[in-house]
Amino acid sequence: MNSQMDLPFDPDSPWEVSWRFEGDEFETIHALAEEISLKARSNVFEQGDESDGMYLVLDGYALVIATDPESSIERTVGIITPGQSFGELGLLVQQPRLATVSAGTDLKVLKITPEVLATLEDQQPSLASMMYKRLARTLATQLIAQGNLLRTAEK
Amino acid sequence: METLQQVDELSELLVQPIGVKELDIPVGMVIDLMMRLLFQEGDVSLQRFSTVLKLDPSLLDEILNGLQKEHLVEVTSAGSLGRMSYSYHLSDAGKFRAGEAFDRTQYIGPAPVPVEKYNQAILLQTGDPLQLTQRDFQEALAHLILPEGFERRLGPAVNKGTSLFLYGPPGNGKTTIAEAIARLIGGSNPMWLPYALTVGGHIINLQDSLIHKPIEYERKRPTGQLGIDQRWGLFERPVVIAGGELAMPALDLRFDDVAKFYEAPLQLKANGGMFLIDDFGRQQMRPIELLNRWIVPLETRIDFLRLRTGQTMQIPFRQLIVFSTNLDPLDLADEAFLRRIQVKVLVDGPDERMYFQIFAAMCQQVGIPLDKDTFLHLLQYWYRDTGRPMQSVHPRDLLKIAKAMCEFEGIQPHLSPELINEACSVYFVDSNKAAHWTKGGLQ
Repeated sequence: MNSQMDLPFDPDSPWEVSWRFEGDEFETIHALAEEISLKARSNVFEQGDESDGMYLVLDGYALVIATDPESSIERTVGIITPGQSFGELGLLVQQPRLATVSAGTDLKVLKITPEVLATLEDQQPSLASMMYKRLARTLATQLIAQGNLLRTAEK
Repeated sequence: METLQQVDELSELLVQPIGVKELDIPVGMVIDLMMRLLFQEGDVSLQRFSTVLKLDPSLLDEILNGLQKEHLVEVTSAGSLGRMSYSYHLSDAGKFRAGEAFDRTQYIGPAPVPVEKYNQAILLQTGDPLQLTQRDFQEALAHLILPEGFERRLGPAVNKGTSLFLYGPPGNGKTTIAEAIARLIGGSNPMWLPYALTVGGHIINLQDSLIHKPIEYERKRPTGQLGIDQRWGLFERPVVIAGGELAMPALDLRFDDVAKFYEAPLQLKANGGMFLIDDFGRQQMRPIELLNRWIVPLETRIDFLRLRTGQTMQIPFRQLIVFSTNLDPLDLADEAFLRRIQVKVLVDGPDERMYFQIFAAMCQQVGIPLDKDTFLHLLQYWYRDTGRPMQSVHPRDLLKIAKAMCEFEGIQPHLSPELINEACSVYFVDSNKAAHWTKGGLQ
């Protein structure tokens, strides 16, 4: 995708994680995490906000929106669908949000904070471990993709 | 909503005249109407007179009694209910009198109401602002995806019933918004309107079945009270929508040289409701001419209409005038005029967030699953790369084309970047190709 914008991340490799929970895994997380409903076009968080967890989309669509710092023009760079999550970096490292995420339609999400993950580590270590593995695998895939991009660019 | 005093005053205006003495128009005008109806239909029963003229049978019987004595009408049949079941026809002298009545005008229909009464009734029914709430607007506009709080820009102007200027690029719902306002006004408290007016012996036909939607109501009042004058009907608040076809004569009293009565101008038919001038600037007359026509009514809330005899009549101008245009307002009117239209609302194209919301809603409505890669491709390739402005109407049109393409090929409706490319290719006019084609055509 040709974005023609100076974005704080690579929009061609959006951080996109699909979750496939088994058994009562989802119910366990659901019981611990906060369910949030948002009206279409309202922001879940904004670019630059402090990170406080990741969000799992239960219903509706979320738009990942990047703002060009110079022109202030907003661009939709990704769409998160039910079963996918966003804001995972906020679960792992405390750095400002790289993009704005807005409700594309009326949206229902589950907010998974570091505290929720810590509780899972205590009570359901196997589930917490599965989540870490999934995040690690996605991160690795991202790194490989970006490495490939770099090699292509060098050629 | 009218106050109790206004309701009382209106009730007095609408009292049914049950005798000639109570009639507020010249009895000769009613006799003329009866003569023309008899000439036109041959035998006419008292009930039929009452239905057509919308006057009380006892009043009409009183007149017919007189006409019988003057040997202008004769009884053709008598039913078992006494005079109330009589039918009449014209005598030879009556036919001569009917000829004179036709010379004056050929109008056959409800007896008219004096214009002074009409003016009073309009003032009584439009004295207070409409009481439409923010929630009413939200519900009326719920089928449209609009910027947050959009209804707050419209509400005060609509309730005040003055004027509103909707402007902005095409394809973003100006007309649909205006139509939603029209439905809202139409569905608010109904109003009493006469079918026809009379001034200086002339008749003005006001009723227009395309504009005036009747509401069923109980004609009889509680015991002891007089009935409602049937020359008045209860209608939804009228809504007149005029587009590019609007011409200046439609805003003046139009005298039919053959029928010899007047047709009310559009703004008179819209009184108490809304007059939408859609596609403003695309009318045959210059925008300034059309605007000049409204300056005095907008300022004074009074309109002056001229009869062909030179007489001028004053009519209250109590309606919401909505101008809708996709032309630059400053190209259409100077600032002085635009100041007179206090509320000007820009209906702009959607941003990417709103466009997605519309796209998602339309996917559901059209019955085609949303595909996010297709959407991102559409944004990048057909809007960002080309600089094409997004319009709210695009998602619906493109998705319908895409679905039709799937159906034509006998495959399940779906979206893909390739399919949206095909839909866009046939939907958007490529200015480069169009220029090339025009050039080729000329050569």
